[in-house]
Amino acid sequence: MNTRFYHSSIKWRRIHNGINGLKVGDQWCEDPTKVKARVKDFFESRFSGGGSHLVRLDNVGFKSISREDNEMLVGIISEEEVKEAVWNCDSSKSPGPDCFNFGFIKFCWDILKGDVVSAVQRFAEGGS
Amino acid sequence: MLLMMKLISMNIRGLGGKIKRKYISELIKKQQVGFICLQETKCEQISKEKSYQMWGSNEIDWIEVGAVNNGGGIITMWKKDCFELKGFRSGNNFSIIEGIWKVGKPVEITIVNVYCGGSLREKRSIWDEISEIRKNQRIKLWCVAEDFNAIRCAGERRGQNYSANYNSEIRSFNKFIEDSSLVDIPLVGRKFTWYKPNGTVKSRIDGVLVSLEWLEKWPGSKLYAEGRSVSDHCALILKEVNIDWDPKPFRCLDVWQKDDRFKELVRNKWASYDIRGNSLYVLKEKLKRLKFDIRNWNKYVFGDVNKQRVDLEKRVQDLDGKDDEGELSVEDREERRQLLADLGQVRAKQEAILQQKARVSWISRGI
Repeated sequence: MNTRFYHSSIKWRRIHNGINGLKVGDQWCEDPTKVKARVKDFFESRFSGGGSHLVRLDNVGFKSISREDNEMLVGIISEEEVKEAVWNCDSSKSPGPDCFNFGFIKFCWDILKGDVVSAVQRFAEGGS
Repeated sequence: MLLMMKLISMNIRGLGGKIKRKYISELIKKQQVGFICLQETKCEQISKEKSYQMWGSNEIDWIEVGAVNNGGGIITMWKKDCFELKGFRSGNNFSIIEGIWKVGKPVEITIVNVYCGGSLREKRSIWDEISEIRKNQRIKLWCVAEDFNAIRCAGERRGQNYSANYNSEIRSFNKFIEDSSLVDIPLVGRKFTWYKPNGTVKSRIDGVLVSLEWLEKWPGSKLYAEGRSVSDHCALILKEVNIDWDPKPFRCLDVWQKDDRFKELVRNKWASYDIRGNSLYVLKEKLKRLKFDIRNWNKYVFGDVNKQRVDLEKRVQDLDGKDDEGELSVEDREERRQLLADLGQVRAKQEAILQQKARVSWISRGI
């Protein structure tokens, strides 16, 4: 067993990747409750939509793709396409903050695929 | 609250003056610290009276390397109820001090106090010397309180024109840290530790390096800096702080996939969730419930691998003991064979979990 090496890698990661505290305004802050609240605020403001600043490109002439390409792009996404996308992702990576990694999704693909594909299709239709 | 590990490292830039000694004295009181490493004392020798005065006690001891022509000089001081000296060696500008840390469960440690204001060549020779000593040292818990006047990356210095010489200094410094298997403890809440009096240059040339064994003993080791006052360097405070961040978030362990029961669990649970709504919502909710169910399964069915290993090893040991007495029945032998097989599996699981946590996937891919 090479546990010593793993243990030291974990120790190294913890000491270098950990957040000890944050600067809130001018104040250095290490209180977990306040740090958590600050992180939440930050991401909340990042992901809240402000519709007023959208750039409009009404009269700009863009190159356009062919009709066939367009149909392929706007058409329904097939199970194979979703599967290919999943298998193209590294198993140790996680698509969302819930921390189910791609290794898990691949391992349980036969169970999950129905719901995953439906969700992707729903998203592509512009649903929310 | 009494902290298990706490020490101060500071380049004081002269300990001869009363104001500086007063500052140290107040710092010791404020931080309630029992061990302190000072660099650039610029004193040939600090008198007993002055030392006792700084600590407000004579139950202290120290190792000093005197300044030469008012340059350099370091002193390492401690309270006798915190640390017991067992041996030391000193070089030109460093002291390597071995002894027993007496706060909490007594443990042997090595503290290196070092200052280097000289050329890159001088630094390299000090690094080589310390590195060599570290390799041959029996005590593995190391802490290097340093002002090497060196930085680890360009971002650690501001305001000075970048010269090619820094690159080789950075490389040599990093190589020293790596070769000595030390870890540079990140500074909490501050970027720089030294400021040129006129304010044009600032850098992070002071630091504390510790060994991995040190981090195993005191995993919450963090490095803080005091505000600048009597010196152009900040005082650094190394202390163990363990902050409770509440329950840890869910992590999907790859090793579950090797357990036959896992896929059945996912299959049964997934089919049992009756959720209505649009399919994005359905997926999100199902994953949320699955997370909850897997968490319970991990706790009650898969179990604590570390504990399983300890239990199995204990049972094997008991049977071995019985064997030594010559009392082992056929059933006992069979049980021991099974236990050893289980132990092998548990150890493999344990290693897989560690590997995933350490994020060293390249090892399994065989580079």
